[in-house]
Amino acid sequence: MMRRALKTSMILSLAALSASHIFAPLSAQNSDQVSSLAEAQKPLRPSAFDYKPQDDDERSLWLAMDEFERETSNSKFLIRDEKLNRYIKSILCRTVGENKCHSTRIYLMQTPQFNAMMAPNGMMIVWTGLLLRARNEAQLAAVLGHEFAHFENQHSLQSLRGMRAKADAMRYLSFVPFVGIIGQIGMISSILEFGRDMERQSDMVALDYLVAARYDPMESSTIWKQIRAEMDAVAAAKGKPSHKDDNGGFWATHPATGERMEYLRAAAVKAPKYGYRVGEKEYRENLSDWWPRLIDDQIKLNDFGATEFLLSSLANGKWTSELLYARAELYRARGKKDDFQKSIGFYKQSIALNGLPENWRGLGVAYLRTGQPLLGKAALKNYLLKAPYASDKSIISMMAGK
Amino acid sequence: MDSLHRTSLKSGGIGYKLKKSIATAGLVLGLVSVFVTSSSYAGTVLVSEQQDIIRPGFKLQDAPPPHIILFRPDITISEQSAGGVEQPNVDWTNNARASMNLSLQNFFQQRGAKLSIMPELKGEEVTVMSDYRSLFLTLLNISINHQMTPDDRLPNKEHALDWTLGPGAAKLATLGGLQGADYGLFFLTNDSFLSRSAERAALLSGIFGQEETSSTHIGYAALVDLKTGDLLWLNTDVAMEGDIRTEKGAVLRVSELMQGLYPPPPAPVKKRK
Repeated sequence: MMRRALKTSMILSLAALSASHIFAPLSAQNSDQVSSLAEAQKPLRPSAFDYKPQDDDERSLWLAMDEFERETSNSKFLIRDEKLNRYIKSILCRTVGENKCHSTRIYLMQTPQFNAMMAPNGMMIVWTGLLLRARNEAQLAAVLGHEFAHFENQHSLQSLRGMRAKADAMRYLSFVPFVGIIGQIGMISSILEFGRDMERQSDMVALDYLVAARYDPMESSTIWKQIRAEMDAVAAAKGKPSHKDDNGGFWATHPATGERMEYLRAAAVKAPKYGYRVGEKEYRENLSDWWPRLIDDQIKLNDFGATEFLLSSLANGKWTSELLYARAELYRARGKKDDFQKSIGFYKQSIALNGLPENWRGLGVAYLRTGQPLLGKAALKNYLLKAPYASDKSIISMMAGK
Repeated sequence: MDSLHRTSLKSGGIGYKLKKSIATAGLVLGLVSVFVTSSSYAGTVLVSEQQDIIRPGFKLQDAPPPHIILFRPDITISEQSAGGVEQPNVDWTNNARASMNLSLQNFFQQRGAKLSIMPELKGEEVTVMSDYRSLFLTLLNISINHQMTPDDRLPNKEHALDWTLGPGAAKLATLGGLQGADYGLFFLTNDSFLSRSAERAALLSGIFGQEETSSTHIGYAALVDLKTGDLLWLNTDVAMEGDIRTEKGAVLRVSELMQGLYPPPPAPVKKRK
């Protein structure tokens, strides 16, 4: 009974991992040498116009994902802003090609963590935490290209088939006394290893996309460098050792970030030396409307180390009024010793740079919290003057003693 | 890293969890990400086999004939491999969707009621429906945890099914160009059948004295008042009979899930001699 329970939990854990299977060769690589007959028989790629699932397994995945997409499209977390969506899509299209990108639908979810996901039916999910962390178009393109490579190479379908076959084998191995368990562990290991191989493959395909689109391929390594530095900062703020090299060990679904950073760097060095761009200025401009909201979500994670790291690296020595406001809010939210005092300093700097009216609100509250009611109330009144239609008008009026 | 479904699939009820456990399997198989996604496999524990609860004093009247809207039912039929991987079967699911609609319509017609099937919605209407569905799933969760589970009843709702979507739910009666509906029906069935190889493995499990796997058949049906938004009746079942893939099974499934909405007439009392 115990063993059975253990095995069940192993199988369930397996089901919970985005695991994988056999490799699909990259069709594009040898296309020049393929004879016309083989060309005719070449299987359709999911990015092909009006592609339909080809067999029962693929139809099954699409059914599940179509239902999921139905829900996702109604999500309260979905960002529907047309301008931003168009911009993100344009980067994908530039990266993988206009003829292919329209087979996917991007869903931009307001979620401050770093990730993006791809479903086999063409639904791509991008979390806003990625937008916060990417520094330029090339870095975003590296991630979008990685997801697209999963889609184009039907990795979900391979995962499903591989996992089913290996989970079945595990079940039968459970009938073999003693030796069976070792075989089962081998199966798990092999499922996970194939999953990591698919991740590596997608990383490398994405790098090719970047080169073709003339985005600097080195940026695909740099983004991992940034993520690792952020992990260090998080650990330092908590006084704990960094998890940057900890990817789950045996259970890892993805290669370690350090490994990815290294092999991407090595490949980028060997890439042809075209005139590449990174698109940093365009990236900042196009995201400027969303920055305050995205940063606000990040602050609410209550992850001081990560947020302080992000803000500092975004500022890169040049603190804008928005970044100063965000930093002030971060310190005020933590509220440890001296934090209010620091936040007062940042609010004032931001105000000096013509920052948001919300600076006065934060400043007022920070004054109140540090036992300076007169200054506090005056600042809050100033906020109400500058933002007469604020949604929190009533409560702030009360605090201001109006 | 947070798992995907925690963010995009909001909180929900047991029906939702029923769904989630299946959706999760589909999701983890279906989605590939750029980074670690720690998915937790959400299993579902429903204690009792079948339970139905009804709002005190509610009875579906015969006249005037009640008009009920069937909100898009949640239907999935999967095949379970020997290793426990569940995979939705497209043909079974699509067939069941059609046969469930038909069986439900027949069921109500035979009892003098009218069932309208909500058409595919567009634009703003999709959001309205989706919001009320989420709210309903919350009520469903509460009803199961705090009404059907006597030990966990809330002090102010000790004795009665007393939850409501609020009068705003009246909007649901006019979605998709429908008119004049009195009630709305939420409906879920999730079935999973063993594949051939899973059956063989189950047989071996029996021989080796391991716990046997089996097919699963879970579902619920719930009726809400489209004037007041009140939840009127709820039936959940985790061990249903009948093969929903067949016409006969679909009819049986409907009669099982609708059990309680039309209580059988009391057995005639035998006169004593």
